[in-house]
Amino acid sequence: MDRAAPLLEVEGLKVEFDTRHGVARVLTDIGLSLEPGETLGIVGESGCGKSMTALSIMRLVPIPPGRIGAGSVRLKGEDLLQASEKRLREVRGKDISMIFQEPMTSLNPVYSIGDQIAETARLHDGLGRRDALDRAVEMLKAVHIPAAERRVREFPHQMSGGMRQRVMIAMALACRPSVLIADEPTTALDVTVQAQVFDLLKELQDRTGTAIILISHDMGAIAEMADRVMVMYAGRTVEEAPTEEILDDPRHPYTKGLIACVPHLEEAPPPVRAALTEIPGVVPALTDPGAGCSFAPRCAHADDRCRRAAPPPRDVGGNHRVACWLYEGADAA
Amino acid sequence: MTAAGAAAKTAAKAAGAGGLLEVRDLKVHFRLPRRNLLTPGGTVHAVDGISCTVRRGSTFGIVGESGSGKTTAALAAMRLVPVTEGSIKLDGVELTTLEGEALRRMRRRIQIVFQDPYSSLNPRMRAGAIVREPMDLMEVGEPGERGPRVSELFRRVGLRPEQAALFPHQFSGGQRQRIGVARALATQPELIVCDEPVSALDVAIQAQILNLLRELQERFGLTYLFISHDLGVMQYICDDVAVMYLGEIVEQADRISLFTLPLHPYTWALISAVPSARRRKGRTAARVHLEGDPPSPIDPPPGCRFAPRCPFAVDRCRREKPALREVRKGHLVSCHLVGEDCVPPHAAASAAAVASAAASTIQPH
Ligand SMILES: Nc1ncnc2c1ncn2[C@@H]1O[C@H](COP(=O)(O)OP(=O)(O)OP(=O)(O)O)[C@@H](O)[C@H]1O
Ligand SMILES: Nc1ncnc2c1ncn2[C@@H]1O[C@H](COP(=O)(O)OP(=O)(O)OP(=O)(O)O)[C@@H](O)[C@H]1O
Ligand code: SF4
Ligand SMILES: [Mg+2]
Ligand SMILES: [Mg+2]
Repeated sequence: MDRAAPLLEVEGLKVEFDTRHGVARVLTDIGLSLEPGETLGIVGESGCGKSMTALSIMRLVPIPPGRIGAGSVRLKGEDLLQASEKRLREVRGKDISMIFQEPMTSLNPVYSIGDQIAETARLHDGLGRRDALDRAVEMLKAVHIPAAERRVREFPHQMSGGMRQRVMIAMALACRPSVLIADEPTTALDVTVQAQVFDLLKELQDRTGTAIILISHDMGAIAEMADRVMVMYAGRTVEEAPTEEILDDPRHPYTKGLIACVPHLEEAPPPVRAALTEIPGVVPALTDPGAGCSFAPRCAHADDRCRRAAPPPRDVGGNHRVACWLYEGADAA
Repeated sequence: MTAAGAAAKTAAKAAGAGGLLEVRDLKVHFRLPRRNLLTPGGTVHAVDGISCTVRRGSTFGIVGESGSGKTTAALAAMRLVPVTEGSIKLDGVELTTLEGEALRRMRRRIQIVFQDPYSSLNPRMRAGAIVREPMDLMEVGEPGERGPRVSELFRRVGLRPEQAALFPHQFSGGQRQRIGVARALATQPELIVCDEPVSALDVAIQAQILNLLRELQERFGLTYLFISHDLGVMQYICDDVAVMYLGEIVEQADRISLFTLPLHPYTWALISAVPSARRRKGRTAARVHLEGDPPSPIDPPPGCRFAPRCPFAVDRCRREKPALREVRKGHLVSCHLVGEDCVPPHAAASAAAVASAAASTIQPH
């Protein structure tokens, strides 16, 4: 294995879907890389391709109507897009696992949670029945489920939403994967429970060195969890930088809007409240992307060139990349 | 604020002398039938004795976790769920005893905007008909005036009148929520209940709707009862905020007092649970850990309902129910440990948190 290669590296990923209205360009030239122990946050509005990016990495894009038109997904150097189905089944759950937004739909209601966690461990680590069940109890303890020995025999419907989400995390981590993809893992949860889940993820990451891809539309959650942030818009990456950089010095007009439009909770709220910054308009249809910058119709800075040609991503220094014509000539090199 | 808006607000205040909606000791209990041997029947104490005053022309917020009774309280104010006990007055008129025609006339004075712009609009009705429906049902104005009024409502919420001919699926989520707002405005209500009106929307669209709601309030002196679990939104949109926990109000104050000096440990925990850039990765996490999930409103615990999860609970908390009392002007809290000096039990912990957060910002990392 090439020692310089990142743990996970995605390059030039292109995903399209055939729809009644033509071909939808769901992902265009998506790239990312991830090191062990690192957390990459992916933010963006609904439909911008966050989940599809995750599904492509697991090669779970529904084909047809979808297709992966180009690109590579290399895990420790191995291109998963070229791997056999058999190999992929080994990788999923063992090397890369995923937590979905709605825990109830991904837990099987007819099996006890212990059986479900144990199943993963037996399948991938070849553990015997007894050992697998012990692993399940150990995992439940790791995610702070009280009375784990008893709970292991319970069924999903007997648990609260927060507990089910913790069970999902236990399942996802049962085989100590090197990459965990968490797709909006707390959207359905109350804030106090969300805080428990985030703290738990951080704690487990500290212990195991798992790399995490955290998908969220909540910049606050991303700010708290991620080392690096990738901002997506209409199937493209418009900006990528270390979290500090994105928060303190966002460059892309979309990123700036995304940060400014949220009413942030202040410790001392100002007595006078200005109107919130709006990003006017709505996200474009992916079937008719046009030639220019996909954000141009909503952008206050858009000029003729923005409407004519899509801006290529540029390095603006400090590990910060942005795809916007405003930064032409700002190349760090 | 525009001059006209300011005038509308002042006029509204003078007319109503403060409270448009007065709620006293409101209880809404649901009886659960006994289904079988394993699941005993019981009573859900969904709303269990709340009191509040919603000032005319202002926004009153109710915040709290799922199941705390926010929606039930609002539905009770609209007489859409049976009131078990207590009084609700709109403009001095007792609502809990209204019947028939009087109830129908009252209903047009309170309207609601729902959380889900996808399921709350009838997919088979055109947008214009959706907005017109409450006017027909409640016989607002002459039938001939209703068409032009629909057009005007469309313009008012930032839609084009010709879009009235479209069906809901032809609109984006944010536009659908604008239709919901237009429908709520149709009967010229004084009070609009907004039940999580932006929770299902993307942040960019959320900002558009929040700005629209504030602008309409300014222009027409509307009063909002605003429900949300998003504290950032609450702090921005509300003038007064009540924090609910298991059917009860545990703290209530104006927005500045509540967020600068949260007194109840639950409010403090809620605030500290909000993810934020202040707790960026690598910095010391200054966060309270609330163990467990909210307990069930069926047979709630005796004493303080928050005691089983409260990091500061003492024996007295588990035995004796704390009363909601005013500890500073307009600031109400129900916690045994908040003294006359207004020092909350988490004062030491939050001071330590502030110190460690400050320390971690100056440490290179
Ligand atoms: N089966 C499909 N056919 C056509 N288009 C699809 C299909 N599945 C997804 N898409 C499109 O792919 C795009 C990306 O979807 P994706 O689920 O990745 O968005 P997302 O960023 O995860 O959004 P959200 O925040 O709502 O979860 C969307 O515009 C969606 O409409
Ligand atoms: N019709 C009903 N019959 C029985 N129980 C009910 C009924 N309506 C609500 N409840 C219960 O009353 C409690 C309060 O519910 P409510 O919907 O008011 O909560 P909420 O604060 O609005 O929560 P959310 O944030 O999830 O919307 C919950 O435990 C709920 O299950
Ligand atoms: S390229 Fe142009 S339109 Fe696109 S974000 Fe930059 S300034 Fe706006
Ligand atoms: Mg998604
Ligand atoms: Mg509700």
